[in-house]
Amino acid sequence: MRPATERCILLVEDNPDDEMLTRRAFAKNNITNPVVIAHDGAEALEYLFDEKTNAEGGQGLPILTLLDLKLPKVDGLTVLRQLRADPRTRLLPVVILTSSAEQQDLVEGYGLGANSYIRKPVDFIQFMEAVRQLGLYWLVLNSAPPATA
Amino acid sequence: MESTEVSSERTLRHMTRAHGGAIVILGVLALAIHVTLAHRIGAIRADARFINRAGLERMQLQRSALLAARLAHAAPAERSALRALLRRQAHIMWHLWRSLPAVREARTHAREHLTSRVRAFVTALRAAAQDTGRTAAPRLKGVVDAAHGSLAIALNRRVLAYQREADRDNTDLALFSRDQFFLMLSALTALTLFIFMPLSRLTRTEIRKMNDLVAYTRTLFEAAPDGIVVIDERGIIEAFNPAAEVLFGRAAEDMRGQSVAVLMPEPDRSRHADHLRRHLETGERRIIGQLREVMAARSDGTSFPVELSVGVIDGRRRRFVGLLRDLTARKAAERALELVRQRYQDLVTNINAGIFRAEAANPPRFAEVNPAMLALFEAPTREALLAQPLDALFVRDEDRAIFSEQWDPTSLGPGREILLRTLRGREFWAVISAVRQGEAGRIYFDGFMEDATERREAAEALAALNRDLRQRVIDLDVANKELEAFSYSVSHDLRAPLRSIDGFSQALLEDYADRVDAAGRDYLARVRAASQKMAHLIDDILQLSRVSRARLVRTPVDLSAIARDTAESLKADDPDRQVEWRIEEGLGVMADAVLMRQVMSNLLANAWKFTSKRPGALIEVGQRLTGGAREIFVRDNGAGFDMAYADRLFGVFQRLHASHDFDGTGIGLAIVQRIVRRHGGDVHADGAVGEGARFSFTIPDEEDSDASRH
Repeated sequence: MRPATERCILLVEDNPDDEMLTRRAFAKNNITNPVVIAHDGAEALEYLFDEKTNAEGGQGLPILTLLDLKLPKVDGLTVLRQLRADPRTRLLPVVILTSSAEQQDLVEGYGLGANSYIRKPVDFIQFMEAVRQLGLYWLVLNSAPPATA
Repeated sequence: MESTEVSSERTLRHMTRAHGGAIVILGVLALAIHVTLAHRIGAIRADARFINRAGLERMQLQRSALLAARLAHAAPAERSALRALLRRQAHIMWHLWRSLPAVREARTHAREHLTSRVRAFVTALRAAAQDTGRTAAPRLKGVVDAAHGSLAIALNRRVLAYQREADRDNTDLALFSRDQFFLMLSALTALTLFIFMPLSRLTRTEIRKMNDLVAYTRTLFEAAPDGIVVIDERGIIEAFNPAAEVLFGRAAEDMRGQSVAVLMPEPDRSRHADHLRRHLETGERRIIGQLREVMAARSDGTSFPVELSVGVIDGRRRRFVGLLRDLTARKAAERALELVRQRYQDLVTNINAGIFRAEAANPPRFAEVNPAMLALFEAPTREALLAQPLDALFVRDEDRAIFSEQWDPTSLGPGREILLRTLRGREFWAVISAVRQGEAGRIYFDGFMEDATERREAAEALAALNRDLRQRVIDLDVANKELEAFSYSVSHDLRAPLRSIDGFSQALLEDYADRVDAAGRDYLARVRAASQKMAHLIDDILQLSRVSRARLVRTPVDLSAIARDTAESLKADDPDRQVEWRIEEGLGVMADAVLMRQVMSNLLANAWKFTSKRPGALIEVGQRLTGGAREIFVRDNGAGFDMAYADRLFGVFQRLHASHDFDGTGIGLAIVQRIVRRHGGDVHADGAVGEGARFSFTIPDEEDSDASRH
């Protein structure tokens, strides 16, 4: 497994329990990338489009963004839309990680250019498995686009 | 024809006058000639008489001389007889002379001279006859001498004079006769030239005219499209034209001489003789010169209506001309027309809509109305409605122009309602439809009107209902949106705590395994199971609500293929189970593919589940026809169910089996039923405990029921 410490994972999640469980799942699956948390859509956008993020010595753009849909202030689909509209973040891998299994969310999410759509299972064992596969695919197998697209 | 007659009359009068004139002229001429001739002939006759008398006088003179001579020598016994003779001789001579006229050429004194000589002789004669004495002899001698002397010569001359006069008169007569001849000749010539020739010319013209008239009349008679029958005063047919032959089906030659009564049906036939007699006796002109409709009889005995007009020819003998026109066709047409008219009249009378004719006078009034109009305007009588000025009936000012002269009926849009007032003052809405008609310089509007009050109220009620409905739709949309938001938040927010419960329970188990004993681990496992169960329930409820909300898109769906896929995935989940699958090929329906997949997967999962405890499990998918409808069924030989609870199978969260026997949320069949019903079909369950179950459903091809969409 290639070390991937240099780039962070952006977790957009308003629920602290989910945040903790996700972190636990990362840990259990040996995913060591730094995790940046945004508690709502506005924070996520602020982080992504902040000068410091992209500046020398900053965190840089995340290697993967895990995006919840139901978020305070700015919802997940709006965040995705803005990411895809901006040339800097246009190719950023974004996985929708949400409770919703609504058809319309799926369709809209993919329509806006989500790379993946994963429904959070209630069963933590299954959740762990999902996170494991996620990490394996996006952090290990997938060749990410250049950090400065 | 008339002018011909008039000119003919004039000609006749002219001819009569001319003839009269000619006769008078000729008469006068003849009378004059007669009188003149009679006079001339009288004169000639007189001349002859005078010649005779004058000759007789001369002869008497000689006889007197003879008698005188005999007396002179007679014996005495004879003398008295001779003397008497002599006296008579004297009387005759004087009497003769006196009857002689004077000679026209002689002078008066000459005649008197001769008269005196005759008188002297006569006197001498008488004297000689009287004298019986001695002077008798000389006297007698004197008489004889006188008689032989100049008197005789004078009397001879006198005879000759009369002869000359007679010759003159004869000559005059001959001249007169010649004049007469020429006079008559010229009179005749004049008459011929100035009267007879023009008259004959006129007569020829008249005759030609009469011939023309006769030909004209005959042509009319023969070519007339109407039957013409001429009868005499006794009712005997004299003429029968070809049209009459056709009309009556009889030949003219057979009809001439017959009574006209044969052309009439009873009872006219019997009465006709009386009618004719009365007409002749009283001169009553009941039928002359009038058009009448009577019945006529054909030769075959059928009768038919004719129009009859009778004319009278007042010639030498009176005759009647009957003109007959067959009314059969006209009667039939009239009847047909009357029938149509009656039908329209009935329609107008009985139709439950006001039909009217309004006249655009000032103010406008109705000219005609049907009974429905009276009801519409609550009019007590037709007259009351016809007398009502119409402008007062319009409630709104802008409608007052209706039925005025300038009004254009097309300006009323279709269905435009007018507020009117009845004669009792009640207001009502009406729809008016009219057309403008100009007749004899007047303007009319023909049309109909209908009470629109009810319709208007109904329309208003409908509009209110529509508004209400729209509001409800809006409300429903809002409710739907709320439901969606609710579902969304259920899906999101209800699951999140479950995840926490499950996740941290697991974390507890993992991280604090050494401090939790077996009972604690069991509790934590139950917490996790319960939270996962609840997550399933939430998912199923969401699915059920999605079935109701999802749009139905019908496409051809192959249920056989879906069944095979589902069977494969079930086998893959539990490869150890031995289940026999019998899936019929070609189970196609027109339905929503996504929803049908849910139906099949629910039914097959059930069958799979309830056969799990049975060896030799069999799951069958097929179709059959029941009562014309095609039924798809899924049958298994599993645990089955009690038919007493069959209706509870499709209820939400209804379970007939304990969870520990067969797990499940109890929502699958509710979803199946909802999907089938949304397709307009129905689902049905059969089974018996321990003998398996059979679920069948129908999917009608037509999208005739989508009632449970919302």
